[in-house]
Amino acid sequence: MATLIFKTTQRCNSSCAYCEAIHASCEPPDVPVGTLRTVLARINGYLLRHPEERMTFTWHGGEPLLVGMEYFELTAELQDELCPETKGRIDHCLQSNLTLLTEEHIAPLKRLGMTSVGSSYDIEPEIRGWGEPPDSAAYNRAFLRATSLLERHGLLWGIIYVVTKRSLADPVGVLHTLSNLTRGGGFNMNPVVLSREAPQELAVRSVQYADFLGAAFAEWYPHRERHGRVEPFSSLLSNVTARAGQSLGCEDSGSCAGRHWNVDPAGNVSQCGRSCELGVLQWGNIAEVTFDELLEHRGMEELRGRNAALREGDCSGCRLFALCHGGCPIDGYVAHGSFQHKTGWCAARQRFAFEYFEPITGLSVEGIEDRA
Amino acid sequence: MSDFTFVAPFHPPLFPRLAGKRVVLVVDRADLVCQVPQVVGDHKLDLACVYLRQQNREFALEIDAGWGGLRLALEMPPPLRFSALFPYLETLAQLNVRLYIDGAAPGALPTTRILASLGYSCCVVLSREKAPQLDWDALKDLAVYALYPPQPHGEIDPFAYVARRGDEHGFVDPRGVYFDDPSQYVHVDEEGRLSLCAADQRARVFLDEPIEEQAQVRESAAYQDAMDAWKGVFVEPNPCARCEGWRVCQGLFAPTDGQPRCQDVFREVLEGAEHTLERQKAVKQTWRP
Repeated sequence: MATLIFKTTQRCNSSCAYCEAIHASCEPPDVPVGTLRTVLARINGYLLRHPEERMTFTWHGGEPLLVGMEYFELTAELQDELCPETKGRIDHCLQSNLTLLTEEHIAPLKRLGMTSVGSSYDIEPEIRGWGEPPDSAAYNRAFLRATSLLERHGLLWGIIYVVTKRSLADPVGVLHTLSNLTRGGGFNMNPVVLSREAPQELAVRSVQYADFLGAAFAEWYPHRERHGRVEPFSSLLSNVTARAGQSLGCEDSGSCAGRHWNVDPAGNVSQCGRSCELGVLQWGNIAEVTFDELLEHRGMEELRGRNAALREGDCSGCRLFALCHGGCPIDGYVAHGSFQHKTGWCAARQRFAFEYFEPITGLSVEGIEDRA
Repeated sequence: MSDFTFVAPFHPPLFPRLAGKRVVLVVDRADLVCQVPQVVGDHKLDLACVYLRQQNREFALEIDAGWGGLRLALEMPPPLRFSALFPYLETLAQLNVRLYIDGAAPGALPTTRILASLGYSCCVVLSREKAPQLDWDALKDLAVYALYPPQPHGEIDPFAYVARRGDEHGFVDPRGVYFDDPSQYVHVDEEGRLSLCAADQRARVFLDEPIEEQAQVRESAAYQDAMDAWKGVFVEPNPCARCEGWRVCQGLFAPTDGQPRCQDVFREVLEGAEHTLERQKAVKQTWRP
């Protein structure tokens, strides 16, 4: 399945302390309708040429709800107009802080076929919110109100929780809080990623993140039916149990090249949201290239060759490779200045897998079928 | 979603308006209980149970073996000493009764255990207001006894209720055992005004909808707020949010003095509820002709 991150707007109504998105002024701030039309036309062309494919259209930002519900309604209309034969293979999903969600958004979101929304939540106060210091209570009320609105309309929601230095004191408490909030799973616990320019007081080291996950995993694993789907635990367990890397996220798949794109408000196409923010892996402008032409971009060769380079280099002999593939290429670039190197979070992954996952489960991560 | 069950006083002018509806009839006088079957038949009430309040402030039970199979929730007056209960046991054994016992009352928890061991179904009434007076260690012992029975005994709620009503992840609103879960019950006063819970009724907080429009209640803002109230613990740092046992208590019994003595108990209740479910799944079901 191909994925398009549609950076609907650079604007955001929040200011999360760890947000990677650079809120520098960008023209245009929102994706113009003309660019939206072009994107949809490109998607249609791609899906017509690849009848076996589906396209995940991920609304992202900034905060995508800032563009107003009319924009979503317009997208549905344009999709009907420009993708009459392929719209059934376009799967829309939304990444939003939800604080602007209203009843009026529901119909347009459903018209686009959305069944679930991704969001995020911080347990610790003053990491996100409005004003200074951030009023996280007011923010959380708005977020929780929106989750209730989604539930009343039969829409699912899940969250990303960002593990920061303030999370480390009570990993099990964090797990319980998120499990209680989501009532049966549906959350990811990702490490904080801070740009060099951002304040570093929230930063966590690889070992700290691994130990956080390990403590939470020790609670999750024996009670996994109670807690439900928690990432990265559920996917890792599923893949190890199946003895195959069959359901890996984009950063672990080793196959994001050529099937993952980001379009910003100016129509610039890059590999993903993070590459867009860093100004790397830039593929051109959607007004001038098609997705198929992007597949032939010479920059793709470097990404496609990454697995082989890692097998020979940084990841030679690593028991985790089939489940990790050296992690996100962007993390490799940030840590080592090159996409041909492994993620800077390698130590965390290995420590979690070998010091916690294997002993706790009694399963081995070795010998997993590599499907990249 | 199904219609509400009405928690209603024994007030004859209300009965025609409750025709065909499921009701918990709250009775303040024991002599009225024998009239209930007639009332149910005349007005075609769907009787969930009779909740008999005891007005005596010194221990005495007004019960009658003639009540037969009528589903009865009997509020037990304090102080609850087994020796004082003993003369009534034979009569109680003839009734289809669940004994509602104030968990914070002196002697309540040990007496509850004895009653359950004799086969009586009991329900320990817990509340946030009385949580500071509760013997939490004794409550934990009772929960373990309820959910890990060495021998068969009478059910002990809210523990048994939690075990049988939890969803696939163990979440349950325990107020249902007290007829106070707003997703299931609505309280009606003598004037026919509806409230979402007993506390609202006491505070004279009423819904706009009358009995006849109870189906609209689920669309009301007040109902939605009641359904979303559980999310309040996630607004700001709250020990309830981090508690493993929260999914079976929803923070409803957390002591107001800020001492989370409840956590140990409800952690145990959660484990016990899961153990109960596992035990039930393991029971082999043989086919029946």
